[in-house]
Amino acid sequence: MDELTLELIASYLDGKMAPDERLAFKKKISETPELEKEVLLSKKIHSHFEDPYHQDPIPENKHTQNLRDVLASNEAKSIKDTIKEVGVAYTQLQDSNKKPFRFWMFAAAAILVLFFTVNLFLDTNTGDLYANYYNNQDVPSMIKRDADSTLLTRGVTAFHATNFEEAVILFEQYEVENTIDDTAFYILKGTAYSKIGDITNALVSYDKFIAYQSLDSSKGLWFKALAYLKEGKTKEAKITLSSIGKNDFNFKEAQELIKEL
Amino acid sequence: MQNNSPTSTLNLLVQGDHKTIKGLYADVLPKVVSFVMKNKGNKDDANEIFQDALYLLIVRAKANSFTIKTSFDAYLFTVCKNLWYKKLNKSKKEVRNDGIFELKENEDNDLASILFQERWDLFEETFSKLNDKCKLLLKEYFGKVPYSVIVEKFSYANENAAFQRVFKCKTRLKELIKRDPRYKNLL
Repeated sequence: MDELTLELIASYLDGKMAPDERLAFKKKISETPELEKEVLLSKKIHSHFEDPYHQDPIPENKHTQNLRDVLASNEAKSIKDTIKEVGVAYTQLQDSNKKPFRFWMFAAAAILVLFFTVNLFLDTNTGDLYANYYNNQDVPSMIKRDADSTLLTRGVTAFHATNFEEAVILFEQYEVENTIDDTAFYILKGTAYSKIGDITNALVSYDKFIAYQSLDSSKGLWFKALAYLKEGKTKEAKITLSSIGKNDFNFKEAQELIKEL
Repeated sequence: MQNNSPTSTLNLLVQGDHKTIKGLYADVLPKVVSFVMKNKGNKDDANEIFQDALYLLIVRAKANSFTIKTSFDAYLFTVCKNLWYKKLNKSKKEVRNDGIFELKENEDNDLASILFQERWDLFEETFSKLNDKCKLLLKEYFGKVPYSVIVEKFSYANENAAFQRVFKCKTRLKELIKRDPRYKNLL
């Protein structure tokens, strides 16, 4: 298709044609199958990117017919039944695992209440220290403006809106679907995990940052120490803070914090 | 499921392998539950969406061969998300029919959902192949940002220059789509 016709299609779809020119072009479309096909594709592109969840009319072709055949078959019904059966078995297994789990959850909760009550009176309040030393501005900004980073952008937005559980899901999904070229991502992901109290995954993420970032690994150490602090693990927090050197990130704050602990 | 290639996972699913299905329930369903519950749904909605997504993927694989370009778990999660957003979108507009047409309606809904995901894959994968500048420009353009604003944002000389750039990026996108073997299934 020649460039001029393609430009006319663009003007037509952008509403840039005069009414009489538009009418004439519309007539030409209905009379020229190749042009009609080209306009249809342009329209599909527009509808997809302007309203991604809209439903197109179903085209009739061999591909669609193959799908119709499978959907109408007994085989399809059997697939559906198998998925449901496995689902029921999975749910039952989950429920039976939860019963003993619930007992231990109550026991653990009781022990934790006791532990924190005692610590409240005897020890330094690590929660307050965490709140004093955690600075949101230390967390890297990761917003990127391309289609591949939609998940990341949404994760960062959720993070800053303090929807940390959602942020964790989006970051996990982003990591599965992308190669991580900016390792600051691991600080962000680790902090989201720390915020929801999942220290294991938080540490895994910070360790990845430390391993990949030879020049700026101390930032990872700082956040790792804060994660320990948040969970009341003062001994681990102190050890980690003491690895932060004189020329490293937040050395002064690390020294102050060690003293306070 | 992370260890299997997406193709081998799909093949196992087509064979009705219970262990593979169970593995997906364990690995992907919790993420779907969490996602749906944060987007105006409940656990039952999430279960239904997860089962539908799995079912539609198997039907798709039985009818026509296709390739998954990410991990199977990630792809299944994307299908679940799309199905849920599509359902939310549709529930705003739809008036339900019932009775004797229900069976046919279900089949057509399933078919429409499969074709929707296929269109999604083709358009999104193709868009990601454009250069960064085209991606940014088209995002603004499809987001209905006026040409006058595009001119400012991208430092173009005037609206005609902006129109030409958008035109070139759209033409490139169309060329890439038309070159893809999946394009013929759209029409």
